[in-house]
Amino acid sequence: MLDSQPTPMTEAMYYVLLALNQPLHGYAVMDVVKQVSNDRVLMGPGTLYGIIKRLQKDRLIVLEELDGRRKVYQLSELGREALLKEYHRLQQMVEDGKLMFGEGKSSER
Amino acid sequence: MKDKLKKKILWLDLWDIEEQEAWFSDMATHGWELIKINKFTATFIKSEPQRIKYRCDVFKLPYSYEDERIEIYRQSGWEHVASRGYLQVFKQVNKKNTNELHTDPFEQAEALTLLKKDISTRGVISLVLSILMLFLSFFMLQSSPVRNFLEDEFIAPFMIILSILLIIFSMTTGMVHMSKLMKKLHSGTLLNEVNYRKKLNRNRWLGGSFIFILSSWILFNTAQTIALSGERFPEIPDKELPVVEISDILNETNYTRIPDMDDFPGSIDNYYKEEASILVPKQYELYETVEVPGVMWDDNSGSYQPSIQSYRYDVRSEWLAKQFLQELIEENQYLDENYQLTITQFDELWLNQEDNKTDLIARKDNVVYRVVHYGKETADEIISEVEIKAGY
Repeated sequence: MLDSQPTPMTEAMYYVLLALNQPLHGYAVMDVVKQVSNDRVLMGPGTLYGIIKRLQKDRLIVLEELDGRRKVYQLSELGREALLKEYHRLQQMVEDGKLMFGEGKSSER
Repeated sequence: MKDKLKKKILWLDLWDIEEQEAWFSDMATHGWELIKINKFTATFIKSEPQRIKYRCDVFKLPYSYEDERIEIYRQSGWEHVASRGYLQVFKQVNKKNTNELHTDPFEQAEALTLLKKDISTRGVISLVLSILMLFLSFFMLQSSPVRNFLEDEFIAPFMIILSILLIIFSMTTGMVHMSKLMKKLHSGTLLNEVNYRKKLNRNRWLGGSFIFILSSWILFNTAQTIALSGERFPEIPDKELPVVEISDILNETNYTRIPDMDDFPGSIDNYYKEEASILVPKQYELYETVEVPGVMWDDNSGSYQPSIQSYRYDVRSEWLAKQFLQELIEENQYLDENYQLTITQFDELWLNQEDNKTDLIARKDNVVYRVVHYGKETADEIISEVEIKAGY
């Protein structure tokens, strides 16, 4: 494996990493993702849990503490790097899209 | 009041994920809510007819850290109902809710990998075992061809082959189906309920027939065992028999059957019985050993005691009779070319003669005769008696 995370990230992975900028337990991640994406990304619990487990295995997030019986996760330094890398990639993609849609049109959307 | 329960056989295979979701949901609309899955059955409880969404996920249970997963699912409105191996069935608690358990097909494919691996492993193992069993059953078929004819011994290996074919068919279907599901997910489509009736009916028909054949076989075997527990050496009846008797061959009329000395019922030296099998529906077997007073063996070694083993087999068809005759020769042949093909009125007659022993196997159409005679009488005399019995 050359890189710890597959590139490009799936949308769901991206948002989970984004949400875990703050320590959260599993279920709360779904709510935060929904908020952050303005109700656009609705994540099923099966999808969320699969992603959390994989991100944890890849050390992009870490188990912060046990809040009673619930586990609390947070972005790791490695995860932050991966997220930033993906952010730049997406930004670049939007930049490239401006060739076609221009500044004005893209901001309307 | 006691809850009304209904148990249904799980005709749908483990890997029929979408079909099972549709089936459970269909049962709920008919007022039967899934509460439990056992190895072979699903249990439903009587309830109001209602629309319930069921979704399956794949993970191992019980597993201490899966508590968290189940908790997250529960908080999102998905309640764990039942497990079938790695397959976990969830139902949506809030009926107004429209969210899905899985929203990303790639993540769902990831989850299904565990099941796919499991099914592939089991598939490969059963394939290897099947090949071994296949060899074993062919070996069983070869081991006693005569008993295949006379005692239906071909059925057991035949049943094994049938089971193997069913297992191979099932496991192959499973592996193909899992690949299809993965392909669907990787193309970006989530799993969803699909029509399950065709598969359910096919599996019910296949499984049902197999269970029917298997139980018929067991019944048949039991019946045979009971039939066999009858007299092993029934007395020779006082009537004309369909096989050559010693009285047909012996020139003397004054003779006595040698009495049996042991305590068991019947005599191993003097008995007559009729039996049946699938390939040879009529089998006659006669053993006679007699003593002729006043007559000695030619070498004066003692009083003359001729004996006969006489058989008649009515085989299902002429073609089968030919095969059966060959197997009989094979089984009774110790040295190469013991039996010589001899020209008589029979379709074929094989003769093996040494000193005082005449052993012949003959066939007329679908009827096979065998006579083993110890005595002074010549082979020609014996052959002509068998020809008379055969109606020439």
